[in-house]
Amino acid sequence: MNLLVSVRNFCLIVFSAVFLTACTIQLVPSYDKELVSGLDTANEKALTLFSALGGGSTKSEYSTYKDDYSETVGKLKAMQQRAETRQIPPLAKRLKKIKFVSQLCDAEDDASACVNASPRQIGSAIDVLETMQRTHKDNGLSDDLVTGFETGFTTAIQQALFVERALER
Amino acid sequence: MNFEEILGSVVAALKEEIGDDLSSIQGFIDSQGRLLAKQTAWIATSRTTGSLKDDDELYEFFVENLKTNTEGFVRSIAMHTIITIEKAWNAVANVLWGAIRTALTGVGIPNSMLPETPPFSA
Repeated sequence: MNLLVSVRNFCLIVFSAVFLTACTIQLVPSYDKELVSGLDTANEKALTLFSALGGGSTKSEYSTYKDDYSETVGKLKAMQQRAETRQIPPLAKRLKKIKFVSQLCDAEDDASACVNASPRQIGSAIDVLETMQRTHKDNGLSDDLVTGFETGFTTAIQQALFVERALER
Repeated sequence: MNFEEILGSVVAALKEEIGDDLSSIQGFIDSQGRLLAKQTAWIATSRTTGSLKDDDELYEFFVENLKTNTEGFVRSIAMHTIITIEKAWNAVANVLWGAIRTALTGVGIPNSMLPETPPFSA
C-alpha cells in the first residue's frame, strides 16, 4: 500500500512538473542596474551641457566645451556597447514569427529590435550630440539650434531610460 | 482545489502586475507625444525662418532624427508590451503553481520536495 502511495505521489510530482514546464518565461533581457545608472549619469552631463549652451555659443567658445562633449558621448557609447552585447533570451527570437512584432520592429532583419530596443535609442542620442559637436566646432550654435538638438536628445534618452527601467521586474 | 479561489488569485495577481504598468506607459506616451510634436513644429519653424532656413544638411539630419525617434517610440511601446505579457504570464504561472503545491501538500507530499516557484522556465 505504501508503495502505491509513493508511486502515486511521484506521478503527481512528475505530472505537475511536466504541466508547468515552460510555464515561467523570459522574453526580454534581465535588468541591468549599472546600465540604468550609466544612462542617468550621461543624461545629467548632457542636460548640464545643454543648459550651459542655452542662448547659443560661438565657434571660438567650442574649446571650452570640448571635454564635456567627449565625456558625455564616451559614456553613452560605453552604455550602448553594454546594451548591445548582453544576452537575449532564446525565446525572444520566436517573437519575430508574430506578425505585428515583425512589422513594428523590423524583426526579420534584427530579431532583438523590440526586445532590446535601447541600443538604437542610445545611438540616436549619440548621433544628436556628435552632430551638435561638429556644428559647434565648425560654425557655432544658435539658440534655435540648441533647442532642436536638446529636444532630439531628450526624446531618445527618455526612450532608452524608460525601457531599461521597465526591465526591473 | 477551489476554482473560484484560484481564479480570484489569478485576477488579483494580474491586477497587481499590470496596474502599475498601465499608469507608467500612459505618462511615457504623453511625454513622448509632446516631445515629438515639439520637434516637428520646431523643424517647420526653423526651416521657414530660423537656423535651418539655409542649411539643407542640418535640416535633413533633423528630419531623419525625428523619424528615428518616432520608430524608437513605437519600439519602446512594443517592448513594454512584451514585458507586460511576460509579467502577466509569470504571475498566472506562479498562482497556478501555488495552487498545485497546496494540493500536493494536502495529499502528503512534503513541502521540501516542492519549490516555492514553478520549477521550470523557458
